[in-house]
Amino acid sequence: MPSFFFDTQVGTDQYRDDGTELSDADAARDEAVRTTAEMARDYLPTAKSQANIVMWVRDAEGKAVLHLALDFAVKTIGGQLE
Amino acid sequence: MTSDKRDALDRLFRRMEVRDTLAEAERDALIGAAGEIRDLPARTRISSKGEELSHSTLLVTGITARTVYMEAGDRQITSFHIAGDFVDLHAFPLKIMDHNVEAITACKVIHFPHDGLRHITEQFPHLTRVLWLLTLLDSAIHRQWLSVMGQMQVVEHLAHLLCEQFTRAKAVGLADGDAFRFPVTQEDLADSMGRSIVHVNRSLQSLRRQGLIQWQGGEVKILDWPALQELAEFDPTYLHLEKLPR
Repeated sequence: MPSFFFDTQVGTDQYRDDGTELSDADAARDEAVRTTAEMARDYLPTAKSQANIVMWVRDAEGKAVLHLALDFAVKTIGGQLE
Repeated sequence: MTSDKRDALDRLFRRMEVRDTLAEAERDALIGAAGEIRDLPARTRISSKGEELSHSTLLVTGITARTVYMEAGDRQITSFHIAGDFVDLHAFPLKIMDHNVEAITACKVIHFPHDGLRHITEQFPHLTRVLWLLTLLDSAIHRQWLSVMGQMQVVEHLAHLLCEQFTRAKAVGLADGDAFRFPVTQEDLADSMGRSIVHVNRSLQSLRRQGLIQWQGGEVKILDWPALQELAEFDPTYLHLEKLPR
């Protein structure tokens, strides 16, 4: 099975992935989407007003094959919640 | 050979002796109820959902998992078992399995025919309570997993799982100092946490980066137990490690 590498960045915190074997590019895409969604569950609840999650997926040759980005912003309107 | 069986039951006896004292007659009764030692290759299905069992299985060496499969094929691991654990003692009164048990690694197991266990429940009330305790420990661990899965972020969840596995291994003499064998795959780990493989790998890297653990060749080494325990909010009360009359 081919290896894929899922590098991630949350704010300024970067992780270079050491690789996961998956059946094909479709499986890599599903894994990337699921992981980004799970990271949102972990990181967004503690985000005060904004958060930014980015993922780059590389194939075994090091070629970038996918880019995922999630921008999150919370704005108070009218000041009632302050 | 009775002496082989006595050795094979050693981890079970330790697991029980951590929590209570066994009489020699109770040990003999368990040895008498034990079948032959069997070798199973890794990834063997030990029992399946819907199956009616006439024996329960004690794990002598290796790691097994209880598994539940969703219709789409996704797998949830609901527990890991190590040497000295009955993988399905609850099957004695339940009879029909509501989940599967799978060998994660190559395993040695012993079958305990339910007729023999029934004899124990009729002749050895204290030993019966200790066996009951073992099934209650399974449910205490399930409660903890459920709470951790519902409430914790993934890094803390992974830290908790490692604290639990280390504490359980240590209690039956399976830890080597600060290290213990935990040869599960990335996929096993992810399926036990209900998270993606990549997300769990990322968390593992975070624990390594923080200098809390090493994980190489199926062996986990705890580098900073107080910090790992604090991160995981690990409180071993639910493992009931006190020696008390049951």
